This record gives sequence, C-alpha cells and structure tokens, in this order.
Amino acid sequence: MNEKYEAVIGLEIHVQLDTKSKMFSRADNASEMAEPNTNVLPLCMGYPGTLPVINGQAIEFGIQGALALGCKINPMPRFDRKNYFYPDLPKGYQISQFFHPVGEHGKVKVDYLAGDRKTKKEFEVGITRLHLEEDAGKLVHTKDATLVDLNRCGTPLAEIVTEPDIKSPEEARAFLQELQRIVRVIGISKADMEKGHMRCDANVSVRPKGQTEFGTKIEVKNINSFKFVEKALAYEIGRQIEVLEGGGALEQSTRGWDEKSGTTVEQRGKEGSIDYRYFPEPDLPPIYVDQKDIEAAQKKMPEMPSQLRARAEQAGLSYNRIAELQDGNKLALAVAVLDTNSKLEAKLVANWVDKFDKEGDLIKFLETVVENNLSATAAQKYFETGEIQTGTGDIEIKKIVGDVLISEKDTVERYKNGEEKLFGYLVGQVMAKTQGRAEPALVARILRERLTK
Amino acid sequence: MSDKQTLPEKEVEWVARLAYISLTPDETKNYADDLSRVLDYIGELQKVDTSQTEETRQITGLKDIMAKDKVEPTVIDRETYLEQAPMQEQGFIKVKSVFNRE
Repeated sequence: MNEKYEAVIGLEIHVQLDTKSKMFSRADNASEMAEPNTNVLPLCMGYPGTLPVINGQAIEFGIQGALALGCKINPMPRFDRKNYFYPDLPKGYQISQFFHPVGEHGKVKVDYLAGDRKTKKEFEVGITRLHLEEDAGKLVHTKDATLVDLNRCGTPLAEIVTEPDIKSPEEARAFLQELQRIVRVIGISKADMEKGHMRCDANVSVRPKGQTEFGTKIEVKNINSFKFVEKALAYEIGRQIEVLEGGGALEQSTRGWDEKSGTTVEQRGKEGSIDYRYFPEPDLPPIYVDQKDIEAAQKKMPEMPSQLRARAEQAGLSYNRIAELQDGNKLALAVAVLDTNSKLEAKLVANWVDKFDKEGDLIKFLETVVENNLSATAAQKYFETGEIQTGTGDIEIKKIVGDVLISEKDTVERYKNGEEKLFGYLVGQVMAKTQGRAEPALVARILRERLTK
Repeated sequence: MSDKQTLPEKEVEWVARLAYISLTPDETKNYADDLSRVLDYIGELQKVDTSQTEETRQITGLKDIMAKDKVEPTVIDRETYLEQAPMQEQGFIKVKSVFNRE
C-alpha cells in the first residue's frame, strides 16, 4: 500500500442462524440441498392473509450473539418493515430491525497471527449493532428471465455492523475469522462462508495519513470467502489510491467483487438512491427482554476463542502453534490436557493432539511416552503399533555412541583430521546398532557433542 | 402544511419508480392530485397536539408472542404454489429478467 495513505474499513456481516424453522414461519430452514420452492409456507410466498410469528429461538440466538460481541442488549427490541420491490421478496418488504436492534455498542478484541506466521498482532473493533432480520429468496438469472426460489426466504439472519475501525485487508480477514469462531463456539450459526452462512459487505475508504475526516466511502459487495475479503479489499484500496494520485475524485458507489477478473466492478444501483421507508412492523406484538434473561444468557456463555488463546499462551504454547491448533480445531483439547496435567510439556501435547479426539486417550498416551522417555520416533512407533520399544532413549544412545566411538577409532581419527563427511557414516553405525529405532537427529546431536569434547 | 399544495409530479414519478409502476403523463397528474389530498388530510391530523400522548405501536395488547422453533410440514405442495404464479420453469417461479426492466 502507498505509504502516504491509510485505509478505513467497516464491515457488515450477515450470519445465518442455525434454527430449525424460519424467522417468522415454521417452514423448514434447512434449504441447502432442497429442491427449489419446497421449503415454503404461504407466509414465505407473500400470500395475503398470512401473519408472521417470531421464532423464539432466533431471538435467543440474537441475544447470545450480541452478548458475545460485547453489545448492550435492548430491553425492547423492535421489528421494522424495510420496503422494496424485488422478486426475491414477494411481500414487498423485509422484516428487519432499524430503530431498535437486539444489541448495540459492542466491542471485540482480536489477536491473530500475522502473515509472516510468527508475529502476534492485536486490534479492537467496535460493534455498532447486531440486528435480526429475515433473508430474501434466491434468484437465478437465465438469458431472458429471472427464476425465483423462495426456500431461503424467511431464513433468520443476524446482521452485524462494525465501526470503521479496521485498517487493513489482513485485519478484516482476521476479524471475520474471529467472528466465525465466536458464532460457532456459542452455537448460533454454522458460519460456513462457502455455503453462504456468513456473507460480508465492506465499506472502504482511503485518506492521506494524518487527515481526520473520512475519504469517500465505497461499498464492496459479494465477498464470500476469507481469501476474497483480503484480495477484494487490497484491490479496492489500491484502486482508490490510484484514482486520487491521478488527480481524480471518488464518488460514493457500490462495487461488486469479481472473482474471475480479480477486480471490483461498479454495480448498477438497484433504484438510484435507496429509499426503504422503514416503519414499525404492525403485525408483530412487542417483545420485552428481561434483565434476568440477559444475565442468565451471559452466565451460560462458553469461553470465547480469545480467552482460550490466552490460556494456551499461559500454558506455554507458542503463538504460531496456538494459531495452527486453532485452525485444526484442536486448541481446546490441547489446553484442557495442559490444564489438568501440568507435568506435560506444552510442545509435546501440541505435537500429538492432532491424532486424538478424546482427552483421556491423549493423556494416557503422553504419560506412557514420558514415563518411558520415548524419542519422537519411538513414540510414533508406539502410536502405530501399541508396542513400547525401549533402548532408544538418551541414555541408551549415549551408550551406543560410546561403543561406536571405540570400535570405529580409526574413522574417528580421520574425522577429527578433517574428513567431515565421515560424520554421516558414524551416525549410520549408531543407527544400525539400534536397528533403526533411534531418532537420527538425536543420534547426530549426541555424537557431535562427544566428538567436539 | 396549512396551505393546500399539489405534490410535484417529480415526487409522484419517484414513488411510482419505487413501486415499479409505470405511469402515463395523465396518470401522473391524477395521482399528484389524489396523493395531495391524502397529504392534506395528514396535514389536518398533524394539527392535533400529541406531545402528551404515548406512541401507539399496536392495539392488540399482546406481548412476547413467540413460537417454538419446530418445523411444521407444508400442507400445500409445490405444484399448487407454482400454479398461482404467472409463469414457472423447472420448479422455479419465473419472472421478467431483473436486468432488462423498464
């Protein structure tokens, strides 16, 4: 990025809630594999005479999500009508929350492994709001027509809007990944981006460093994988800087990420400037959220991913190892084992946690490894065959090395006189005497120690 | 809002556009008159002092009406739904292409 400029990024993320039925009807919410228009009830079709009924589970999920993002919960969340005419929503409006969302004024602290795979970086993102709404249907465009599938119409969504606190494409990606982990750990969404459970739009602007007012905001839509978030934002930031450097001006607009060309493309406005004419939804009686319920939900909240990482660091795991285990969904298990078994070395636990799913099995295995002083090779053999082969520990190898140094006296003499390539031969002799059970690196280390004495 | 005014035709065209309706010049003029009368009536209502009145959001007296998250089987099959639509294709409702409107 051009050194003279800085980027300002805010994200809007739609998270599909993992309920059984839809937001306002009891139609089946599992529409991924369903044939078009088979998971619909008259309400989803927008038929006259139908009335919405709020899915209680969706409200609970919304509150849990808002709490996990540090939001203040609105005691009287309200639903509003967002009016627009488009074939993906046959009733002519989307029920959303505009004036009184479920939660507001949150904050998320994110720590992540930088691109160099070594450095730990940290930043904070303000959460403007989390509100609930229903999804629209899916449109398929053919040459001469638009085809409508209303299975997804009415699926509950939590829309999360961040403050413009994100300063780079890397941070945007890190925030999205953290958000995915958060909604998964609290169990409100499967949050699979490839399956559209989590969809992201970004507001991006650039400004000369030191300038306090924001630059012209461009909305980038359709960034539906972690990889594209970084790519699309990097492209868009570069494009905006280029326009400004070329003496041009930017105009507030909406652009779509185009995967094929790797660029963002100006989109035709749906209806010029948007005028949704929000008003309170008259078909839904008000809901009140008890302070007691909020406190109960707060108490039930599981450990957040950031807390788990902090515990892992305390347990002695390196940050890049923590990130690796987290990506493989093994961090919780590793930390649980380290917590109850302070004798076990963090590195050893990290090396083996991938191979186990049950805490008890992993502990039993590692205890055997430690008790028998098994080398990595021997431990691997034990893991594969269930047999413990002794004679490959430090002490045993030291003894064999001693033997070899005596029996290969002449070779040792030649090595010391400069024939360094003979080192490999000596390692081979030791290995042969252990029937290949010893770890070559360990043999080499011990041999070198003895030879330089 | 005291003096009676006619809604500018531009505004009528804007509202028609939001509703995806195309109007002839005559219709635009007629709607300008009709909508102006509606607005005049709202103007009348706005004269009432409501500063001490609580906002009425709903009149049923109901609150906290929520359903259990349980799937109800659909009683209407897809064919019946699709028959209500003007056009259909391969299980989809077919509409005019959204890319070539107006």
